[in-house]
Amino acid sequence: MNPYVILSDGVSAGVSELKENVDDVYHQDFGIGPAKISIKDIFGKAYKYLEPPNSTISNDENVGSQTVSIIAESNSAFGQENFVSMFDRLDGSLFDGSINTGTKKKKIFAPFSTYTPTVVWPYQRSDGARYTVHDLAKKDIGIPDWVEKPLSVMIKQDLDIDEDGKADYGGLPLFNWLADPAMGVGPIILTGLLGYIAFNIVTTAAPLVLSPV
Amino acid sequence: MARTMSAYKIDAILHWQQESEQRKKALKELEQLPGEADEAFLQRAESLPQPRTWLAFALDPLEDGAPKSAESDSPGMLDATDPKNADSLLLDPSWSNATVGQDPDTVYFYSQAQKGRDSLGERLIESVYPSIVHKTAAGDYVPNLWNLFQNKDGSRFEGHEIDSFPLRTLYHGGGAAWNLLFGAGVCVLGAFVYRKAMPALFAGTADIIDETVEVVIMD
Repeated sequence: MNPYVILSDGVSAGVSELKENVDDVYHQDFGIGPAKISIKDIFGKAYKYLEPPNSTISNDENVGSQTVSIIAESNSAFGQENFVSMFDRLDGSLFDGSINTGTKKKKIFAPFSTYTPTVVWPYQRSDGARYTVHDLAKKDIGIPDWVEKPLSVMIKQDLDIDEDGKADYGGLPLFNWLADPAMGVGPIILTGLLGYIAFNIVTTAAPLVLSPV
Repeated sequence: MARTMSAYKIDAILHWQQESEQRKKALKELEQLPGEADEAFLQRAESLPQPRTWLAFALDPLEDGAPKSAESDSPGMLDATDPKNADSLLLDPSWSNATVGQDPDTVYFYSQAQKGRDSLGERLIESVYPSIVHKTAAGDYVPNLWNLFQNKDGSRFEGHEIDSFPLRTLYHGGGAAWNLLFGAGVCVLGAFVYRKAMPALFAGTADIIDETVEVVIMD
């Protein structure tokens, strides 16, 4: 068998086993007699005092469109908006929605989710809608409870921003600044490729067009 | 592919398209009567029903007025309690319903309905990219003619059918690359067509100028 596969399987099995063991210890009852005490209970009680304030995410419905076009004009009948006219309509705003903690609002930097033309946008939701930084914000990180609670206390930030009881990417520090540019890397590379091809076409085709036949 | 509009909305769009074309045609065919003054003719043209934007149609299809209210939470700030707004499309719950993906029967119905339209350009665009399908990612722009993926029942395999998000992103990334290459291909083809057509155009224009100059000089 391939040594890489052996190593990969071994590491994977080891991590799963470790996770299960920690999970078992976390839920194990250390109480004596009728008294039930587990690490989970202790964590839960401590968390009540140390818990960071609740955070939620909001999305501005007036920003963005299902179809962002390059050439075609904006047409509300078809859920389509030209990226230039949208930029104009929104006064060049680069933000969409916010992560709210009490009265404090962290605006979400979302120029790529908002303005990137659909023709080069590679992200889509399972229900067929445009996948934006707000969808990424609500995506579960997939960490267990015994990691989520200490982590949220350490970073003083509620990780469950969509209120489904699980930690979300949107709760991580600097998510509101870094996530959208990270999503924009793919379209940027593709647009760069387009620019490169277009440049080569112009330099190749222009002499052909201008030269006498 | 993306999302297909509700039957309710499609029906309204077809009505709007029909209304717009009828009104444009009526204005185009309007002729000045013998002895009619220019101002009277313009007034008569302005008194005819004018083509409307889709939003204006959706707000008030019957053109009986669309009262708004500052306290209203309804779309377009329409006053939902006013009987005049009973015809407003925006206040109907069916307005925002959509089917996930491209519904072949609905698209077929819409495409057939487009065949009766006046504009050849719009008919062509609608046959490749039906407007009733919201395109939400790059793979949705690959026309059926060039699409490689198909379900067993013959329908188009679409991005949203892929459960894994990274794979779905890869699928649409491939679509984006195809779009870029196809766009580049169109540019190359256009350049060659331009090159072939232009000498004749140049030659024709040059001949006209040449002959005109000769005639003027000869005179």
